Formats: sequence, C-alpha cells, structure tokens
Amino acid sequence: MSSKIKKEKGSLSRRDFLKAISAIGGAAIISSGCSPEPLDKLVSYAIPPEDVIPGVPNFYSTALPHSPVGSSIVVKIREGRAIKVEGNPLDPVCKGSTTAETQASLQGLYDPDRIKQPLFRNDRNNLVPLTWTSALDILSKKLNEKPKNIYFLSDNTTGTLDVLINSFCNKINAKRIKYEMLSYEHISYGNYLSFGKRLIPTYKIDKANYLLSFGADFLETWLSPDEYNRRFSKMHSIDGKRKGKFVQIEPKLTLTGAKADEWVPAAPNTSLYLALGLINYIKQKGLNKKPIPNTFSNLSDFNLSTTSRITGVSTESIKKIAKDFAKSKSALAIGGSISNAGNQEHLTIVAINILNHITNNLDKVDFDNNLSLSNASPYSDILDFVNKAKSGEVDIVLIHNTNPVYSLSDSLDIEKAFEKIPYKISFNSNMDETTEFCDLVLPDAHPLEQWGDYEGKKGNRYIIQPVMKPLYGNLSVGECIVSIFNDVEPTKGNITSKSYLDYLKNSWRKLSTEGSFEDFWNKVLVSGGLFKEYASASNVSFSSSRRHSVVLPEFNQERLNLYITPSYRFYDGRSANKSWLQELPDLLTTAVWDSWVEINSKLADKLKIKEGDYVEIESNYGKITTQAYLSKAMRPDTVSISLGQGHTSMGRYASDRGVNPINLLDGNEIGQAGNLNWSSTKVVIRKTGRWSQFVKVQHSYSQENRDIAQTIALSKLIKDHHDEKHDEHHNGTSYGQDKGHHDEHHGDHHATYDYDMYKEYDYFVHKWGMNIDLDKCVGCGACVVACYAENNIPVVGKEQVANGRHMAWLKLERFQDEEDHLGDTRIDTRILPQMCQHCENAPCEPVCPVFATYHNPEGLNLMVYSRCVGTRYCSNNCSYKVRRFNWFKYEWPEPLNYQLNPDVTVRSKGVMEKCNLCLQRINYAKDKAKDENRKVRDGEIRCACEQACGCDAITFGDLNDPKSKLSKLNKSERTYHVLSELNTRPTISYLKKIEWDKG
Amino acid sequence: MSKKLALITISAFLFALIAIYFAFFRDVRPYQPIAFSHKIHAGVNEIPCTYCHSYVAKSSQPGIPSVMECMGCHQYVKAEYDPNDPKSVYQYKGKPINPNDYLYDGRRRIKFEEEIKKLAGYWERKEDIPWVNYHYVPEHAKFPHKPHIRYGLECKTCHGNVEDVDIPKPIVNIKMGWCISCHEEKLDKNFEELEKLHEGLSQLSELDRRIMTHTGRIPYNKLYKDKKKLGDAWTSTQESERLINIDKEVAWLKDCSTCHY
Repeated sequence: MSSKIKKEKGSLSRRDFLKAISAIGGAAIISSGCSPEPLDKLVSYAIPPEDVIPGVPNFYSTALPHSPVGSSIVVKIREGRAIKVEGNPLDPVCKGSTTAETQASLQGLYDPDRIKQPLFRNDRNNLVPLTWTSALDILSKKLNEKPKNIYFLSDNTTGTLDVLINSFCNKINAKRIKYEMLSYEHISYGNYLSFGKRLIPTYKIDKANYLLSFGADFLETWLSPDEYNRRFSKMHSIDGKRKGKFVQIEPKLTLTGAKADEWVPAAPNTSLYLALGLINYIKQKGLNKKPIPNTFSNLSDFNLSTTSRITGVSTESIKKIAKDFAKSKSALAIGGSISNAGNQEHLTIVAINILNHITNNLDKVDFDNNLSLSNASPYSDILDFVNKAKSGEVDIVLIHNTNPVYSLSDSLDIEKAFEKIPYKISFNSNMDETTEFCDLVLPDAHPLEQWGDYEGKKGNRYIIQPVMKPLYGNLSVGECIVSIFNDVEPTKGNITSKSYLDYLKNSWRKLSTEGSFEDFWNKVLVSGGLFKEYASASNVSFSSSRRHSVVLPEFNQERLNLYITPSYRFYDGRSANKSWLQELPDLLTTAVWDSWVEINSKLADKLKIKEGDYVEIESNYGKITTQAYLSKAMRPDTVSISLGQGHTSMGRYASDRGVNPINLLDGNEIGQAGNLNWSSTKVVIRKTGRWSQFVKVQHSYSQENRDIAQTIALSKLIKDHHDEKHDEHHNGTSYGQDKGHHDEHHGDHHATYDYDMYKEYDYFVHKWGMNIDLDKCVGCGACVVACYAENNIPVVGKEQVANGRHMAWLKLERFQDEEDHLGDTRIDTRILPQMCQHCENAPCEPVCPVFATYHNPEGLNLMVYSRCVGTRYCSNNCSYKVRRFNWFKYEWPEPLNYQLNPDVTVRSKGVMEKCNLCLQRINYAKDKAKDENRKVRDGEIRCACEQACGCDAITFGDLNDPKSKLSKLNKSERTYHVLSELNTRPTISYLKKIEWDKG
Repeated sequence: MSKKLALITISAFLFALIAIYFAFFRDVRPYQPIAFSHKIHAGVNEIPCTYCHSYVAKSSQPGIPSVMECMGCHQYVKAEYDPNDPKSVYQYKGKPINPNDYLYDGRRRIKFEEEIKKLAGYWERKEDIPWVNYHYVPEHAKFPHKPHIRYGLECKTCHGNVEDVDIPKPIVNIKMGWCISCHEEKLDKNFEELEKLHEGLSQLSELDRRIMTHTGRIPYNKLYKDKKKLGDAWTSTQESERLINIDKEVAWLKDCSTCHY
C-alpha cells in the first residue's frame, strides 16, 4: 500500500466535488426540512383504565419500605407510568421531603437489570426462566420435603409482611433473621443498659439549641436522615435572634460534619473516652444539674490531659464543649454511628445518656416513637447462621431483600458457606451477589408495584399500594407466601386469605375504629397510611445498676485507623445500581461512579501519594485497592472509605465499580452489643504505582477570592437588628463596589441604576425568582436527583464526567478553607447549590447568534432547544458556568426511558440546556389557575428541587408580589446575589450562611 | 472528469426529484388497520367531535376512543346492509352512500360490515388498535388542546371540515408560522384595546411597537413620561387589572416559552 497521495488525471477536483455536493445538499435540506417524520403508532386502549386521562397526571400515595425508617411518598403517574416521586406532606416523619435515595427509587422500579421472571437452576447448573406457577410449585414441593434446618433471611421487614413471614416461618419451622447491614444494635443495647429499654429512640434534636454529636451522621444515614434533616433545620436556622449550635466530633469530615458550627476531629473509636472526659470535667466543675451516676467506676481517670491525649482533642476544646453543653438551656448529645461501632460503642451510648441525664436533657430522647429498626437481628445472629452453614447445618435458606454475600466480610468465607447450603431460594429482584448463588429465584415486585404496609416508627403505619401495573408481572414476596401458605405442610395454622391484599386488609381491619372498613380503607389509601406521632408521655430516667470499668486504649501508632462511612447515596450498597445516584457527586469529594480512600493530605505528602494514585489498603483480614483522594479535613492517623460500592454483580451500573471496605474487617469480631466491630481495624496503605485521573466534578476547594458562598457572623446579624449598618462582605475581598449598590438589590427589584447601560425591564404580571438559604442547605443532594428526575437530564457516565461533561442542571458546589481554632484544625465548609441564575442582564443572551436563549416576560432566562445550533457561545459567556451542552445523543436503556417526564423535551445532540426553573410546572399551575379563574397563588408552584428539599432551603415565588414568601425572604439582610459585581442582576438570590463567632 | 461530474450532477438531480416528491407530493394519508371514516361518523351520523375525542377540554391531548367506547355503539350498529330496506340507504349532502360498495378515501372500495367486523375482532381479542399517527406536532413544541378549547376555538378552525372527508388531511402543514399568524391576529386585537386605555401607545415608534408586540413588554417610561402618571395602576386599581390582563395575553401569545420547553 502506498502512502502517497496520487492526483489521478480525471479524478474529481475538490472544487468540482463541492459544486456537485451542494446540489445534493440542497435537495437533502429540502427533504429533511419538509418531509414528515416517520409515522408513529397511535394505540387506543382496548379497555380504558379508570381515572386515566392521557396528558393529565394522577397522584397516588404509597410508601417505600427501605431502611432505616422507610418513607411515605406521593407518586406522579402519567399514562399509567410512575414518573416522579415526592414526599408525602401528611407524614410526620418526612413531612413531604425526600432524600436522594427516595427520589432515585424510580430507577429501582425501571432498573434495566431487574429479573424479569422466576429462574430455576437446572442440571447443567444454569439459571433458566420458568413460569410463576411452576416456580411456586417447586417452592412448596421443596418445603414439603421436610428439610430440617430452614433459615429465612430478610431485611428489617415490618408491618403485615413481618407478621406473615413470621407465621410462615413458624409453620415451616424456619429460623428467621432480620439482617440489616447497618443495624445499630449498639444503640439499643446501650439504651437497655441505661434505661432497661432495648430500643432505638427518636432524638428530638429540634428541641435542642446545643447539639453535640459523637460522629452520628444524622444528615446522611443515621437512623432517620429524612427526619433529622428537617429537625436539624428547625434547630439550626435563625429564629429572630437565636440559633442552635451544632458540634460534631468525628475523625473525618462528613456531610453532617460539614454543617457543624464546630467540627472537632477526634481519633476514631474514642467517643467513649471523650464522653467520659466531658462528664468528668462537668463533675469537677460542678456544672451538673443532677447527681452523676457511678456507672463508670474509673470515671476520674479521664481527666483533661488523659482525654486529650487519647482523643486528640485539645484540652481547650474539651473544656469549651463541656461548659457549653452543661450551661446550655437545652442541649442534646447523640452518638452511635456505624462508623464508630466498635466493641464498646454501647458504652458510649450509656455515657451519652449520662451526659443528657446530668444536664436534664433526657426529655428529648423519645422512646415512645421508637424505630422498628430496634427489632432487627443483631449481627451475631447472622454470624451464627454463617457458621452453621459452613458446618452443613443449614438445609434451605430463603432470602428476601438482603444481600449477605455482598455485605458480609470476605474473611467469613460466605461464598463457601453458601455453596454448602443444599438449596437456596432468593426473592431479590436483582441478580445480585447472593442471588447468583441461589437455586430458585422468585423476583420480588418493586414496592411501587405491590400491596403492603410498613411501620418504620412505632404507630406510624404506611400503606404501600401499587401505583402501576407490574412491569414484568412479578409477584411480591407476600403474594408468593400467601399463595403457597396452605400447600405447605403441616396443615395446621392455615390462612383463609386468598391473596396478600386480603391478608393485608384483614390485618388493617382491627385498626379501623369507626364507620365501615371500606371507608376507613379508602381514607388511609388516600392519605398514605395511619400517621401518629405520639406526644412522648413517658419520661425516661437513667437507672443502671451495672458498673463498667473502661480500659484505657493502647496505641498502635504504626498502623492507620480505618473509618468506614455509610454512604448517603447508596446506604449500605442496595442503591448502587441507580445511575442517578452513581452520578450524584459525593458532596465533599465531588467524586462520581467509583470508590476512593480519603487520606489526609499531610500524610499523603509523607507517603508521596497524590490524588488518583491507586493505593493498596491492607488489614489483617483483607486487602483492597482503590484510588486516593487527599483531604485536609481529616486526621492524619485515619483513612476513610465509603460503603456502597464494590459490587461484583447486581446490574450494569453497580457491578465492577469501586471497592467494598467491609472486606477489610474481621467478620468474626463482634462487639459486646452483638454488633460487628466496624471501627477498630487497623490498616497499612501502600502505593501501587498505578495512577489514573480521579473523576470528580469540582476541581478546586477555593473560591479564588470571589466571595461566591458568603457568610455573615451571627453577632453582626443580631447587632444589625439595632444598627442599620450592613457589612456585606464579611469574609474575603469584594470587587470594590459600594455598599449602596448591594442594598438596592434587596427587596426592590425595580431599582434603577444611574449608571446602568442596560434597559430596565418591566414585569407586568409575574417575575419568577428563587431564594436559597445557605444556612439551611446541608448538601444532601435530594434536589439534584429530583432535578434529574423532573427534567429528563441524561446520565453521562464516568468517562464523560472526567471530560467535564456532567449534565446536572443543579450542582452543589463546595468550598473549603482551613483555619486554626483552639489548637484544632477547623475546616470552614460552604455549600452553594448553583444553577442558572436567570440574570436580567444575562451574558448568554446577546451572544447567541440564533436567539435560542432569551429572556421571557416573566423574568426567566430560557432556552429554545429547537433553535439552538450549538455554538456554545452562551456557555463561554456565562459567568456562572451553569450551562450544559449535549455532546452526544444520550440514551436511556429500556425501561429507564419509561420514567421520562412527557412534559419536558428530551434534548438531543448539539443542544445547550440549563435550569428553566421548572417551566413545565409554572405552565401547569397557570393553566390550572386559568381553569379555576383565579390568579396563581403564592406557593402553588414548587420547583422539583424545592419540593424535594428536606430543610426548606429553597423558595420559589413571584418577586412582583410583595406579599409572597420569596419577596419577604429577599428583604432579609442576609440576601445577596452571586457575583453581583458583574451587574448580571440574577433572579436567584441567596441567604448568607450564618457563622458563629470564632474563638 | 467532466463525465464524472455529469454523473454526479445527474444523480444529484434525480435525488433532488425523489426528495421533492417525498417532501411535497407523497400521499401522507396512511393505511389504517380499520378503514375508519370521519365522514360517516361526523358527517352522516352527526356525532360531535368531543363524543369520541372526549379529553379535548381536559387535557393537552384530545384522546382517541378506546375499543370499548367504539363497541358501545357498534355492538348495535353492525351495518348489515339489506338492499330491500330503504332505511339502510344513507344519504349525505344529497349523495347516496352504499354501505356495500363505498369508495373509501378515493382509494379503495370497502364494505362497512366487514370493517365493523374487524373492530369486533379487536374487541373479542381485547386487543388495542394500532392506528397510524400522521397528524402530530413535533416533540420540541408543545401544543395543548385544552387552552384553545377554553378560549373558544372550534375544532374546524384548525382541523377543517372533518365531516366531509374520510381521512382528514391536515389543512395546513403544522409549522410555527401558522401558529404565530393566528396568535398575531389576537395580539393585534388586544393591542387595539390597549390603545384605548393608554394614550401613550399610539405615539410609540414603529420599533417600540414591534418590540411590544413581540415581547409583550415595553419600558413604562415610553408609555408615560414619569412613573407616577401610571400612578396606582402600577399596583392595585381596576385599570391596572385591565392593563395586566391584556398584557398577560399580549405577553404570552408570542413568547417562545409558551410552546417550547
């Protein structure tokens, strides 16, 4: 082959070719411009379903029975398909808010990797599909073979399903284990030691004005994150002149810790000693309001210097915390996170209870509204099961909604144990690590496709109703059990119900108090359940006869502590196959689609590790390799890995991604509470020499002196009530603008500038705007996922994120500064939800050559997708970098595309897109208002992000209406606009984060 | 060289011809699974449009009847033609219609009885009818029927005389210009009303007027030299209400975000 380019005689010159091609091109343009699109089918219903009007959404309330407390939701249905999940405002736990995980539950329903029909392992050891009838036949036949040792492993099932499974287990003589990976047995055991109640209570943190948390990640996964998000927002937001203070003690900055007013980096596994040190100091200073019980015999050992030495917290800090805690009118200490759950963590709970007891704060610990998570089996039960399985003492195991092969440490050799069990039956809906071992798979229907109920907290019963027809016609586990119940011997204890719905109704019959049951049933279906928040009547008092002696820990300086954090995105790993959650950046690292090990940057310098290096983390029990992420906000004696990744199967998004840090732990080591010892494992880290780009969304911590996320000191805010002086720029530098400029932004949006070259806009009817309270925002990411769900935002995958092509319209930006505080490093973290600012003088508008982006008469800066030709000038000129470009035609694999919102255009390749303040919701509300011949009410339109927010940080409204909530918020002295010095005049305003005074 | 060029030019010309044929002359009327005739239903039997397209006032989509709804009538109407029975001979606009030999859509001859039997077949099998959709708005434009019905438009304004044809052809190619022309008409009407209210409007320059009709908004100082003259109209008086209401219409009729989002 010759590489020479020959110019043949008679070949076409470039010019001629172009001439010819232009004729073809002209014809092609004509035909493509005018020819109709391919004919589509318009399918009529054979029998129209009830209540379905094509084009009009229906809303059904139901619940998601996920751990730890489940959530009551309202699902939006269009043409028989669930397209959006919202929180149920009637539910006292979540009060209409959702978490990122709840928002993403739709991707569980439309998971492209769900098992579509029952599977059966044939002689050739392959799983082959079969019908439901024959699958159920096999199941009942198998159980009738009189196996001796049957185990039923499920998650923490509650309500009617729990009763049904229990009676089924009684009948077939099966041992039941309610296995939760994150089961918090140390909290219930600690409470048993303190109050004689083996329960997990509700902590009323909203009633406190000083919250001391010993590592509890209550804004992420701890006990009831939905609820604590809301309660925390209530406690922490400014109310006139008061504002609660939150102190977090943890070795590594977590999302929860980022919200703390004081973040105290203490060595991991030392909460107990710190709590004892605090009690001791309070005792010494006589700050206690109640006598200190002598539960800990060697309390006096924990003087300031010893405590400081063990925990790594400076004596000043300990003194300050102890004084603040004891002197505060209403304080509360909480603790007992999974990350800290070592072999003594139950004693930490006892010590925390003592702290609350001696300062008269036990009224905020509410055992009446306890969590049903208290009933989960302790870890020791599952360990017992694994050991029995290994010695061949398990004949049949039934598995529902739990994945022990993934969630148990490899040191237990769980795979060998499973291979020894002769017959394994799985009800899991995905082909996960456990189901792969099973001989019979009866895939469960998704909660949105089945009947059921859930009682996450005592007395708070949610109804689960099917909101759509099962996608694959799968049966729920309740339905399976009811249909084979009477076929299984012995015949005694048969049930009369024909279906699970019957069974469910029967169990609800006794809850119906007055009137007919049908009325009652319809009422609970509409409202989503029976909601009851008990006024906590019974006050607990500390009473413990046991005495504990706490041994001072030994130090092993050579090895590092391992701090495993549960993931607020994947919980314990069960949500890992949801692409929205995979692409939701972890708040502080902004990493996506993978695992990482967080290493202190100073330690990394010493070990010559840089970001993106693959490092080997080795404990005595296992070894994993993952990428390093360097962080300033953690202790140098600790490395941290997040749970949730490291699946070997489960689906296309989850499998072969990241690592599972549980494999570093010794699965045989259980604490005194029967819990897995999560926190006392020591590791060494080693560089492997491999490097690849660490895929994250935000590449800098710094605001580069631009004062993007602003703060205001609390004292200034209170002073300002008397004094009208404003100091806008509390921190950092400003771009030399006068203060008056800023003032004009507040409230009065018709303010004119003498020197402004832009014309003044008049908004005759509405001027839509939004306000985001940075003091309330915790960065949980629910808004981001809600935005993905509402606006058909494509998921681009790890490679494209690495190329900077992340498509999220709403992005949580985090900025961190390091400062010194009382001898401890203090990290000032600021979070800023950033989306299109809808500028009045939008830089993007004048540069668009085709007028694809323009300002509408109601103050929105909008994109006309069909006009956009993809020059990307607008994005270049955008001061906030919030525009996203479709580099490809992104696809939604079937059936994920069923979730797409039909009211929003799916953008194709070459089109710019960005936040439009949920224009479809605005239009929907206006249409409804016109139908009812009224004006749009304030608060009627709620953007997807606003509706999902648990801490009420986002407010959408009409700036033209002086009475609207938004206009009132904008009058606050905390209001500012991002980069206002550019005179882009954004419609999105922010409220400054309030900082406690330093020092 | 010239041979090749000629070849390419000729093939380009042929291609263009084919393309033009497909663009302008190709018959877009589809072959439906059942030869349903709007003429027989809406014309001869005078069934109102909303009887079958029942969601038109409630939803963005007018809806098509389900097989069950079709069978509501057709379990009785079987069109079994008895030539001796004078009642079964149809007449429409003076022309007789033969149910046994009907020229459907000018293309083929059908028998009513057989078509209805096809429908009954779908019903017996409880099967959906896969009608071919040929009359649509592209995805990037939202056309909700509901507000147009609410405004008081009649179906025939856009769809033409459906009762005269078997398969109604779109009376226009649905293009943005067609939408805008109608909206513009209404906008002009509103503008005239607005002129009666505000003297300033008639003195607007041609450019400002164009800006106003296009965007629905105008700097107030162009209407009134000082803001005070607009007076309370700015906030709460009756005049302001009228101003606002008219303005709302003006603003929204030609705004991109009305249809594109």
